[in-house]
Amino acid sequence: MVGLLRSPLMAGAGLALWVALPAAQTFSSRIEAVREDVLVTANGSPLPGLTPADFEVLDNGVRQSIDLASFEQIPLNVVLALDMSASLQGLRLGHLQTAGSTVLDGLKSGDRAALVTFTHVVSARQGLTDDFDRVRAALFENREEGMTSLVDAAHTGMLIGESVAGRPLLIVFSDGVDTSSWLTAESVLETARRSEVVVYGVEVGERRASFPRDLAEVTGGRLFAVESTKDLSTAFAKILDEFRNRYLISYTPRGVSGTGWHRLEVRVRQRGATVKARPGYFADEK
Amino acid sequence: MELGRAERLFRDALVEQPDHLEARLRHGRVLGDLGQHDQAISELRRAVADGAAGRLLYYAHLFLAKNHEALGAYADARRELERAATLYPRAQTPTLALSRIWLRTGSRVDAQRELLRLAALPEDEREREDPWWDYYDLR
Repeated sequence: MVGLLRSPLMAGAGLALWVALPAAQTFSSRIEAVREDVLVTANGSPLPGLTPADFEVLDNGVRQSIDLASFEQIPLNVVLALDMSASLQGLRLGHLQTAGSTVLDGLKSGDRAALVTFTHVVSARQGLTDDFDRVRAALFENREEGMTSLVDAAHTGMLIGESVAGRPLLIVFSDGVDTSSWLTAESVLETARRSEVVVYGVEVGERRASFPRDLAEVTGGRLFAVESTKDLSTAFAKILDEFRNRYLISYTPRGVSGTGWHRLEVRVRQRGATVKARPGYFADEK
Repeated sequence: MELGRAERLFRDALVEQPDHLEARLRHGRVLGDLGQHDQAISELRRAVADGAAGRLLYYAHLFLAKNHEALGAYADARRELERAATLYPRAQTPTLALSRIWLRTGSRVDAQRELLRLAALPEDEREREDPWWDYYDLR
């Protein structure tokens, strides 16, 4: 039902951007199964060993019956969206490239990776692929300096994350505020609320913008703020490790309306455990 | 407050020089940012009718698209963005905006198609040309 298309646009461009085209949309008056990516921690560390019986999910305040709570190693689709603007040059750029490479080193068979780099130019340098050397090569290519289109790049990263079926993670790094995007932060946050992609943001430096934090929050991810680019590799590795240790819970909504925004509450029975999940989802008529 | 002041300044300038295309374009843009979308569309269409060309015409199409989108006229918005893309085929802004509208209207297939367009653009900035990057330059 899902096909892979190699775009003729890519011929001669040296890129292989594989895009999964969903089956034709049909109208449905009920919501299909909802899948949520959930982080459960205790004392700051992921809490393994939970079963569906340990979770409580409320959809618009109505308790749901969970079909699945999986802690298995489901293959990941990891998209790196990395700020390469003027302030990230020399040694700092090297730290960033090494951090990206650290993520690639941590991927396993079955995982895929993609790369978006941005200044004011947003470059979808490599679509989701299991050829990590290809992504690494793109990561270390030379590039021009410029302004910062963080919001546009985050939007692009989410699109790529959903281009192939899988479990999507977007890691967005920036050292400054957006100075050149066309898309507004609010419009991309709205997109994120409708997306399956979990976004982890990484920031460095003094200037802090609300967009990366807001984007992580609405997708059930987290924001990492580091003091120096030297800390990027550690942060990126932590993100990957944390994402692998999230639960994938699934349920078929019952007793709630079919369309619109659904407020989601996910709890676990264990005392002292903290749950991180997206605050809700949109159910659209298809 | 600054937008309101800008709107008044542009409006006053257009009283003095009604054929000032850039002032009319920027006035239209500010009207849109103030939420006066119908007035913005009217102003921007007049800028187009009065002969806006090149970069100014590109901006007009982008801002018309933005205002149409705000009013829920997504087909009109897409049409304006396609016009902008035709003017500057190596620009990323129309493609990004189109993908966003496709997502907004529930068509992920079409949004992914725009992603392919974006990926096909030259990676070298010197080979791209997107006047949006220069919009705030005052020359």
